[in-house]
Amino acid sequence: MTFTINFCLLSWIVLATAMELLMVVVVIGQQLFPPASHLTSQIFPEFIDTLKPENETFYYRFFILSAFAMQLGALAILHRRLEEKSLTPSLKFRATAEALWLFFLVSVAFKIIVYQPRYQLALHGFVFLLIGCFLHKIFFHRCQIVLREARNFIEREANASALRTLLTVGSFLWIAAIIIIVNPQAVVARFFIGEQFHHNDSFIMGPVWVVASGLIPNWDVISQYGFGFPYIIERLVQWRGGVSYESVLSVMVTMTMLYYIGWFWLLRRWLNSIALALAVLTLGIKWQMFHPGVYPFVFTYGSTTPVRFIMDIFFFACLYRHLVTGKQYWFWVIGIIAGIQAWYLTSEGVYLTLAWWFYAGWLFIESVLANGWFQLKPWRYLVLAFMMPFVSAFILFFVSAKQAVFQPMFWANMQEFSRYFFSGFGVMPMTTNLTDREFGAALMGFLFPMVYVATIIVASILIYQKIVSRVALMAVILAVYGLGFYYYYVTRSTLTSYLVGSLPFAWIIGFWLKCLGQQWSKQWRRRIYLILLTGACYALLTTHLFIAYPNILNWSHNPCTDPLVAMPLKNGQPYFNHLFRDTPQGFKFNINVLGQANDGLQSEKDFSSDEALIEFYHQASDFHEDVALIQKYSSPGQRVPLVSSFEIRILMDAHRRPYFYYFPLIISRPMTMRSLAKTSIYTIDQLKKTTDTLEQDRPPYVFMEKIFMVRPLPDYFYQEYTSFLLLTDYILKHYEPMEGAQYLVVLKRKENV
Amino acid sequence: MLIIKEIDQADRLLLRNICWLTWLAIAESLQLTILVIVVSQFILIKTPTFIQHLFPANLNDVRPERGILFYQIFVAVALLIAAVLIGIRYQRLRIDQISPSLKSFVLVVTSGLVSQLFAAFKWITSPALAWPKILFYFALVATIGCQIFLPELKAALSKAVQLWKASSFVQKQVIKLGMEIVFLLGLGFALFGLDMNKVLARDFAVDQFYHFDGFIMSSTWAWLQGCVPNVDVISQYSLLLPVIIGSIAKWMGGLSYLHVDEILMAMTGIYLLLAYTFMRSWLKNRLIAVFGILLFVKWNFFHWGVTPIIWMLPGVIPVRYIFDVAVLWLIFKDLKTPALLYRGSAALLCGLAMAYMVDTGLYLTAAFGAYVGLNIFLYWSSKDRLRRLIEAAVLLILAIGIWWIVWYSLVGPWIFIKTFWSNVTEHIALFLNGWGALPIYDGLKERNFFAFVMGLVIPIVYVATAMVTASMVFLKKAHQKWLLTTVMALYGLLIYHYFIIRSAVSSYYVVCLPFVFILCFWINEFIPTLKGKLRLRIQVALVGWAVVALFSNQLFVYYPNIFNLAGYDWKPEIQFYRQEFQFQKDAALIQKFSKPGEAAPLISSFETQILIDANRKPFFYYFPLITSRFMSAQLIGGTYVHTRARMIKTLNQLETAKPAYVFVEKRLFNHTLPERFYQYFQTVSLLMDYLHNQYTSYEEGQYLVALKRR
Repeated sequence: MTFTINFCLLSWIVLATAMELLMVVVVIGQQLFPPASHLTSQIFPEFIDTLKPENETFYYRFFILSAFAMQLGALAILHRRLEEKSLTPSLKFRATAEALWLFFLVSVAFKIIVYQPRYQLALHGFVFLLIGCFLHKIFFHRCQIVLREARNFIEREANASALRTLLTVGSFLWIAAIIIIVNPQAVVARFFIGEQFHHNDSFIMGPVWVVASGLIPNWDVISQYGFGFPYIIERLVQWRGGVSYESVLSVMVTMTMLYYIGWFWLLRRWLNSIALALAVLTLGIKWQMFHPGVYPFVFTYGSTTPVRFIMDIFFFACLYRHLVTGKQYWFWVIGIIAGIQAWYLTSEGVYLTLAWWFYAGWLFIESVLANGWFQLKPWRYLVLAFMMPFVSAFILFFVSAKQAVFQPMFWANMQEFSRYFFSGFGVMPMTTNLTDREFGAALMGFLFPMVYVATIIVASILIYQKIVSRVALMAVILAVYGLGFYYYYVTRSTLTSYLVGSLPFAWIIGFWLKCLGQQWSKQWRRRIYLILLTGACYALLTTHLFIAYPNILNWSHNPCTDPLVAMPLKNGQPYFNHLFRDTPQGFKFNINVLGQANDGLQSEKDFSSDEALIEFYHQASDFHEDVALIQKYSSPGQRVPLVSSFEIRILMDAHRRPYFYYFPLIISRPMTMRSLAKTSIYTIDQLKKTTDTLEQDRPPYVFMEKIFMVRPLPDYFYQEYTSFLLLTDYILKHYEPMEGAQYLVVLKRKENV
Repeated sequence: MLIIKEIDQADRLLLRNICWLTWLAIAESLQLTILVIVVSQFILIKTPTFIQHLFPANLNDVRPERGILFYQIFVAVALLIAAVLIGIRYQRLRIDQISPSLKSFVLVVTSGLVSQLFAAFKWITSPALAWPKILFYFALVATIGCQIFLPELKAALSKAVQLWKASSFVQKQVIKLGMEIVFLLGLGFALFGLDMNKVLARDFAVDQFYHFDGFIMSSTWAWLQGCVPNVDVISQYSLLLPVIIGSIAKWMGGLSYLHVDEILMAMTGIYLLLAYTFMRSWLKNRLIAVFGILLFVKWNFFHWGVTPIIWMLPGVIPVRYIFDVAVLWLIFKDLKTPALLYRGSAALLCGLAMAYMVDTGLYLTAAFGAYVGLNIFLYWSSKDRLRRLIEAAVLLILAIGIWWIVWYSLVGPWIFIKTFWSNVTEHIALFLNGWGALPIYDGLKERNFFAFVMGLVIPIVYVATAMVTASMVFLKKAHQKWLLTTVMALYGLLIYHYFIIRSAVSSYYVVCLPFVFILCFWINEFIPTLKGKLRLRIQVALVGWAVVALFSNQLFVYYPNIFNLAGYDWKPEIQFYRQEFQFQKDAALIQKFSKPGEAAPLISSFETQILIDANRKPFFYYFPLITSRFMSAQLIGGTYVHTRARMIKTLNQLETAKPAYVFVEKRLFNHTLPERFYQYFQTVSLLMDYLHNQYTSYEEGQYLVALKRR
């Protein structure tokens, strides 16, 4: 047996070293002897694509021969000692080291290839690792001593307290370093040029400006995702100096950071292990913030960030306190928080409410099992618990929306988009990933609910059998909450969208690892948790989306424009202006609003640095002439009918309220484009609501982009831009142009029309 | 904080029981959800009213579905079943193990679910296929049926097991043999029970016989017409193969695509049978041999690199390396009972292999040489070292001698002339200089991760196997027979050059037989370390997996065998082939302006078939000269004149021989296609320019025009 173990370890070391040596040869070979062929001048051009000179045959043979030679050499030296037990530990150590080096090298080599054409950073990493790998071989014994001493230092009980403090402080710093954005202006500039604020305008900027200008969401103006969050964000933004894209972004980032710090604090207490808590938290951050569905940057889609479900940290923190202390008031606070989340953002409020009801139901059953069915108190508590989220939410609605809450229209507006969604609008079937042949994503997508259901069942029994303490109930409630959150993926099953709500899943993994860890010795538990932490950090640090994230850990000072880190689209095309780059020529006019014969679309390579990008943003978003026009024809506090791209930005600059219920009305595209724009009006009813408002109010002036006045247009424009053209046709019929500015024109209502 | 108590024996039992019951709850819930999904397919989803108010441009965003309902059913039912199951058994969870009958029930449900999910997966990812639907419904009904009639099913099974146990040794052997024959016949029917019209039609429709002509057809026709291979006409892949195929085809009634396909299939069939019997005899394990041959068939015949049908690409079928199994068998025999006869026969076959196809022959000879060398080193300290060295030299001379004798018999004194050798090595030189090469990470760029990993794993397994087995034999820790595995690994490494140079996705499966052998070897070594019943179960599972993997493979499903699993309608394709592949009029034109036995200078798509129809010898050294495209299409496929040297050689042939008539495709000569074609295909333009200068149009056939020298 000893021989077999030693022989296998030795063979592995030889094989791994041969592979590492091959990597060195490949790196040197590609630099010094790039593949060339004398056939290049001999081949006819029509066949030139078939000619791809390479050195792979040489590398292949080198690998085989070096492996055989090293095996021969190793056996020649060690064959007499292979039966010795004393040889095993040193071989084991070396084999593990080789396995680790090889893993890192292969993983980085893999990244070099899949990161194409942005592989430079991975290449640097590869060379660095390769040097490290061979230095480690040379100074193997010294490294062994250092590692052993480090291990002893970590495992010494006397150091435990100091290390725990260090790790805790380090964890907070780590979370902050991951999430905090160094240059918010550059990021906003990228929002502007990347997707013209599209997602954040509809999710957050529109509703926040509505609230800031004194209007009521979903009564005066739509707030598609929920009611309360614009109030909170607006309040926080005001503390930071007023509503602007930069301040809203900063608030979102801060909320996200605090959310994760909160969860770290909670997980650390719940799981009673800093390393495990930080490992699952890092995994959670990697999944939630850096999955392909949020390319290129999670805050581009504010609705996929923890801002959406921020109350859950308070919910679970209170739940934890209730489970630990058993104090009644924590119980009621949980219900209140569920209600607050429902007020804040409807869908996640519903999921937290479900989780709350489940918990209340659990306690009710516990109570009746202990005291019988005919005690009044449990029933009273059950009814109260059922009511609690409704009551707390309603109070908040009343405080913020006042009398509107008693109007059926308000509640109809609240449900408008969820009604569309449940009727199949914007829905993707769960088989999408399979038909797109994204099998990994599909499998993970199906795995989530199974794990949740299994957790509810198994953890419940473990609690009842007293194998785990009652605090494990948090895993059950997390699973219920996770099942609710999973609706997001059930209805809109695109690629990795299940990862948007993946945090409960990550926390549950932490729970099961903790349960599993109890079966190991303390020493091994600590080691495994540290390995898991390292693995999670490695996974995070090598994710391309993380490398591109503009935080303090970014390798570049210009993360938004530097090709070293900034990601292009999957097909290699530039990300900037990607939504409009492929607009068909048939839908374009000869010149744009400035009289230029091009669209003025920039791409990443047009900017030498993030500062240049910011400079461009300031220039391109300078609407002062148009703002002055609006201010000239409207008074402060007035609702201004504006039909234009970047309407939120313009209205904010002009300090005017939005007029239309569907706000933003226009899906922004660059102002310099030679094309029309689309609207956020999807149905005839929505269009009617918009034109009816104009018909009833008869505002004397309407502001509109100049280029929107181009008429007549071919019929096929009406197929593509139906709602936009019907709306602008109405305006052009009832209004006439009066005065123009840079991009906008003011139209005055015609008499007797 | 979370506190978990120390787990004792009773807790472990509880945990095991909970896991079984939880899985049962989830599985039953999944089963019910699947049933609900199936039923709901027959109930139309009511169109939401708001759709009528939606603008047409947004209609594509509406996809009404019942996903939420199904999801809710799954969750609710799983929790309900779990509550009921655990409620019933709650008191006994710590005391009793759940009964074996419940375990069987869980296994039945799980197997049924796996089958249903697998069929559903195939149904979703390949909606055009007919079989996944059938399998899905069958699995659904079978799973439900098995759950209801589980006791009866178990009784029947145990009766069958008892009957098996009660049968005598001879009866058992007869049954096993019968099953083996049934398996081989079944596999034979699946692979070779083909409708040849479909095979030819597909080859024509997809490839226009491009690979077929280049690999075998043209060189065989040239040889049958008396041309010397690689002297008069190129024979890119092999000198001997055209002779073998040509001779058999002549005996069958003449050269045709049909006959050549049939010969190649017969050769492949024999090869597979040999590989199977070799594995059976080597590993002494029927099931592993069955697994191995199924795996090889699945990988080699039905991987993406041979889309849509392997017979379209004769260069990648086992005919390419047909002698290897025989040589390995001889080495195996020699390892069992060392005899010069075996080694000599192996050397002879190696010589034949080199004469047959240079690259694979050299690899095989090198592997055999490694075997001889390892044997010498193994007995280095013995007295007969010198005899062994001399014997090795003789064997090497024998192999090379056979190669040269065979070639001499084919080309005569040309074998001593430099031109012949430069012709033989012409294509190899191109290949080694990067012609047709692809980087090994090519698949990775296209995100074919599995293919890429497999491409790397295979040589690592070979190297590791060679290292381990050889070392173990030399350290006297393993039987000398393990050297066969070393030789296989070395042969695998050598033949793997095919993939290293041309790393197209999954093309490593073309040369995967040594890998299959090695995989089977390690499995066979691993299985005896398992406990009694588990051994058989794992082997059966492996065979089962291989069968399912083969039968569910997309290419196999569309394979034109008797099963026709895809339910594909082949008629239009066959009709198209019959209509398009008719060249009698053009063959008559050639016959009119050339004499029998005369070389006819033909520059046209499908030149091989036209010359066969006209019964004329090819004129050009590069034959085929033109990459075929459908005659009725407005396309050009280019030429085989890849280099300037080839162009000079071709034009020199015309200039030296000055043939009175040249036959050329009208669409090439008359310049009737858009100008971009002639600009892109410079080689075509150069040839046509020459013809326009030296020849004039004389008479037209259907697709060809006869040109007369000015």
